[in-house]
Amino acid sequence: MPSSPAQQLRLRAAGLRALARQLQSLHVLTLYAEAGADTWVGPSPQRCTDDLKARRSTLLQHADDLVHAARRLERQADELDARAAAPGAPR
Amino acid sequence: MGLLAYDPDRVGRLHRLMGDALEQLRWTTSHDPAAAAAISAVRATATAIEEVWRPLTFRLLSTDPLTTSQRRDAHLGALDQSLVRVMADGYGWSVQTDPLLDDATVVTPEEARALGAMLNQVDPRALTGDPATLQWLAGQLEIIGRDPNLSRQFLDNFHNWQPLCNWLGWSHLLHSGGDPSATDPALAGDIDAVVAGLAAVQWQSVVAAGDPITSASDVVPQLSGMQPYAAALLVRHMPLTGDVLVAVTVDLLQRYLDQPLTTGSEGPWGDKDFDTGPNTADLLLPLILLDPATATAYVTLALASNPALLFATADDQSLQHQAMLLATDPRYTTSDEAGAIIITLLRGFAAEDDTIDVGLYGFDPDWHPFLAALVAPWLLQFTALRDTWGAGEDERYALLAFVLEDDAAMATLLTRAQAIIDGVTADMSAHGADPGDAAAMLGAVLQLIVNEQTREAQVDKNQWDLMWVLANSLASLFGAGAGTNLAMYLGQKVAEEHHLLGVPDVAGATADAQHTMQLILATTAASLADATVRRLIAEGLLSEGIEAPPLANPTDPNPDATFNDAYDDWKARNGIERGSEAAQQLDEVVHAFVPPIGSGEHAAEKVQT
Repeated sequence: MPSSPAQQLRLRAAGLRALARQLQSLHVLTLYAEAGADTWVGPSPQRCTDDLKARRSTLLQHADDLVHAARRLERQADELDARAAAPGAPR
Repeated sequence: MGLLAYDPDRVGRLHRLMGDALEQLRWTTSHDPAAAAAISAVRATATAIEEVWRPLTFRLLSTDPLTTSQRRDAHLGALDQSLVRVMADGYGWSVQTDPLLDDATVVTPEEARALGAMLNQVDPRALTGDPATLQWLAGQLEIIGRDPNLSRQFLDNFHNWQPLCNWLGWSHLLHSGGDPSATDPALAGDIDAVVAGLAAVQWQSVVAAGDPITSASDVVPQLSGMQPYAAALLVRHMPLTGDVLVAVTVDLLQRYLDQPLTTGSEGPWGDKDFDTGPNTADLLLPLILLDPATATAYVTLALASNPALLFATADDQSLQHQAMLLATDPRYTTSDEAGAIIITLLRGFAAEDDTIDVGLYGFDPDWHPFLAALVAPWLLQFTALRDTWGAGEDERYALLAFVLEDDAAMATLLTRAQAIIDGVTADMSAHGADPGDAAAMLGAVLQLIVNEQTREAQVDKNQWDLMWVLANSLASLFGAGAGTNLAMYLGQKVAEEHHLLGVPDVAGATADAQHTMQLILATTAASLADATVRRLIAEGLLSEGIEAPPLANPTDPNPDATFNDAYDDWKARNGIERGSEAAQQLDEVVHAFVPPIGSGEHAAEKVQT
């Protein structure tokens, strides 16, 4: 179990990075290529392809957002560590 | 009915992959608050696959595809199923009714390509009688025409412009009045909407090419085999303006003149084959009339190219008249621009060599009133006081006389009085207000009226004489003897005074007209004198107790000379000394209309040679 706030922040950051990697490797991201005009044609197939493409973009954007959030948490952890190491800081 | 075509093997693979993706999405989770939005997106994706797309693939895989006869019943040959038919017939794919609702507002590149290919094979004659398909097709083409990529996909596969557009054009004309018994504005509107869609698609191609547009063939595909009416239907839905619109319009109107008749063939016929209904010019001229500068450019180019374009192309000739009147409207055109057009037109009409073919008058029965309306705002330019328009004074006066020799033309001029005043006002604002200019114009028109009334009286007299010549000749033929004069049998007194028998009095008609002219000029001078006196009183140059200036006397045989005498007497009685400021200002306006005796010509005579 993490004992300090900084450690807790780093643990959360690691979880967010892992989730981002998960999102970037989802099978659903490549599904649109299998649902194109080589497979089927018609209004509904077209809507399916368009929907899968849109969801792919959304998921990848969320993956980027998770990485940014992880970096933010890690910076906060570093600042806490730096404050703790400063002369006169309570031990 | 919505249909979809599919490769069963690939749909099976897609179904399995959707299952794998769904399983993975279910295991993707996090309880960190910073990941809430991402997890929400994951859940939504899983829901869409689980509840919409995977059931669709499952249903396709678990249901038998349509049989051949079922496809026929499902109207697989219809245009709106073009892509499905291509994939089924060409690639052996299976076909089923689409379990989800068809969305006609979405057109895929594949559908655009398939629609283009199908339109090559469609029976255009059957299409033009099918409102439902026309409306659907118009909607699809509108969507395609908004998108450069979809337009390119469509055009890569469509190449039957000429037959399709000719049938659409023929049918449009037929239902727009070409065949009065088949008039159907709603169906004509459906056809026009399809043509508008085709035009939008083609325009994307024109824009993408970026080439200069100098003729109709630059915007209309397969123009050489296309009826001008069909081409005009397309063109009027393209955003053409200015010189480009003019060049395309003149090109199509010339093609209209040149096109052979096709009546008697199975069709489609061109607009020349119809006695009623709109034609090529009727479709295009409303676009020209939207902008005065465009109208000027159009009329100028048409005159230089072939004047028949202006007089032998429109079913509704009033549109051409409007174009020429707009092109020469003093509110939008310079005097030189208008003059170049008006002089060319008048020379063409007046020329004995039929520069503008007399035979064309049959197409333009209102040409006399039209020419009168054309010159109305520019009457000052026909007087001796203006040296403009590259025509001499004598020629300009002769051309004006040519225009006004017709009763209807004279009547038109009277109804255009405001246009005349506006023209004079605009001219005077450019050249400076001068009563002499206004007097000269008024005199010119009055003298033309005198001349015309004299001419008409002479014609009446000639006809009257002819009747007597014929009667005398007939009497001689039946034994009255050569040289018989029937007038002898009327009694001496009556024979000497033919007017009792109604013989036209040419000299009397001329005198009456000249008297009227003099009276009008004297009255005008009197009114201006009165206005000038009131102004001079206000400016302190004349005293308030001054006597009112004289009026014109309609019963006097020489109203202008009599007025002049009365005017001089009035000045003397009221102490308005010769050479004074007040006298100079009064003489300037009065003598412009009624020159003092011995000083020179009459106002009307200034412009008559």
